[in-house]
Amino acid sequence: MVLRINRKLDLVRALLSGDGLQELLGLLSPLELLEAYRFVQEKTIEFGVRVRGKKFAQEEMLAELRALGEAHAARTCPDQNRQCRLEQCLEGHPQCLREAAVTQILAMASVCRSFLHPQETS
Amino acid sequence: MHRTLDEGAIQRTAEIIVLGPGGAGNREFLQAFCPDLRQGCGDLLLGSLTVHRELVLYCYSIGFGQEFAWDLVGGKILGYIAHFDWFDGASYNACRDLVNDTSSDFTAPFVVAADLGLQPPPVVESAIKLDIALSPSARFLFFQKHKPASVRRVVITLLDLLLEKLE
Repeated sequence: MVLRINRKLDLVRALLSGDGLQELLGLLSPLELLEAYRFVQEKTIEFGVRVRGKKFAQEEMLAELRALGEAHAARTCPDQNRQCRLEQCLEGHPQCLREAAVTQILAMASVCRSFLHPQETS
Repeated sequence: MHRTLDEGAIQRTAEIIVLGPGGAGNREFLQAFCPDLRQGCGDLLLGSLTVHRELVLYCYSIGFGQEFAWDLVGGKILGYIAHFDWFDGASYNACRDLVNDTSSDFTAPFVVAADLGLQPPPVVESAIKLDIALSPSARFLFFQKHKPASVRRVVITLLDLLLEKLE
């Protein structure tokens, strides 16, 4: 496990407060960022299911993440297959991985904000 | 850890460490579940809860900045609770760093609890009740230190983690 508990606490605090996530992501290595992506995805789904129940559109969020990945790949993918696969780019294209992962983590944080702080987003 | 009682029965003891900003806040936290409280040196508070004559839960409450013999005590501790003021960045940073250092050195379960005090909740009401897994042996949750039932929920979360470890 690369992502230490202090980083996980920072991520949870940023998701719950709706503040400081972008700065935090900038401090993470590509490998930590990959783990942060999985952690934030897990927490977003967990929060969404607990707070919104069946109204939480999990599939919609995952589809949005895929669309963001595809748009990123279409624009900048250095590989010929033009598909955004975060794990596969850890060694070869860490900067591209960073950009794609940060975009998608921020999108998940925005989903969290929509149900954790509904008065701010309505 | 145990000692022999006069009648030959064995008294088992369990020890947990409560890490907090220190001072009156730590005392308030321990008072919620330890009927017997004693002041140790510096910011150290010792609390105990006698479950019955053969089982006693001991709690050490330590301030974030306080020197402590982690190498002597850390290895035998059953679990840790770290609490901080959600609205105080310095309190959060001190808590986070101590949790990180301690959890690297010891394997006992951790509960990190954010005190909301009397402030309006920072998220919708249903999210306040979330019990958030940070790892298989660490949880994060909100609580209110001035409400004994809320403090006890933090302690119960730690006990739940210990039971999960046994499964």
